Amino acid sequence: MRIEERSEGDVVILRVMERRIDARSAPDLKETIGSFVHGGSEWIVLDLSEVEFIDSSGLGAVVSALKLLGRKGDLVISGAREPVLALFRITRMDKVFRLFPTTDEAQQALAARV
Amino acid sequence: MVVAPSLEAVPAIGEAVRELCRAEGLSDADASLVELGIVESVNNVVEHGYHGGGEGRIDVRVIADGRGVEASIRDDAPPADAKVFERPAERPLDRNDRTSLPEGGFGLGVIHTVFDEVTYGREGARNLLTLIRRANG
Repeated sequence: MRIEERSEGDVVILRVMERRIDARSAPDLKETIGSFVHGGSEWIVLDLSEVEFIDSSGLGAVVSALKLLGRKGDLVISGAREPVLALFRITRMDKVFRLFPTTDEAQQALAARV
Repeated sequence: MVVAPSLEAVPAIGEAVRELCRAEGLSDADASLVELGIVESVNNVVEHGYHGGGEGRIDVRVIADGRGVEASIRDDAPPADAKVFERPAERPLDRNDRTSLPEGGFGLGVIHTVFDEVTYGREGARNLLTLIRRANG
């Protein structure tokens, strides 16, 4: 899975550069985000603006990454398109994850710890 | 479409279903939802019916028109218990207790949200899952 990484302060921004996150790629996504958490990253923006489709396996990988953080930090979603947002709504994960229209807004919210 | 029981085959099915639905006049949002529901259904067949792969085939047929969408998914995996296709109970979600959050088990709930009718049965020696989404559903 292709993921671009950049940091602003202590906020890590991970941009998924794939059109689909599905049962094939979910383990890779889980491992990649997990490597940042294990490396000490606590404030993570997952930029899904390039993603056109995600299934429940992909969503499970994102939940798994949030759980890895334990009580520390946060993992938020930015730039999700309608098909991706729909899955968050159907599974009620839109009540668990904070969803931001843009990565800038997500990064600023995490940087300000709000 | 007829495919081998492999997760590698699922994206092509999903994209073909979405394009069919669009061509038949469904909105982009509805077409994407139907794609999601079919992908979840075929994922279940591959992962639970075939335990990830093996011999056999999966037949996916989708009809879309102004009345809605009817899909049938046939496979050669061992029979399943029809009860596992019932709509699952809604699970509590507590964002303040991350360790309690479910990492899986979303698929069937998604399928029941996308489709108004979800029916599992046997057709001869094959499994048959029938999914219906009504246009006004």
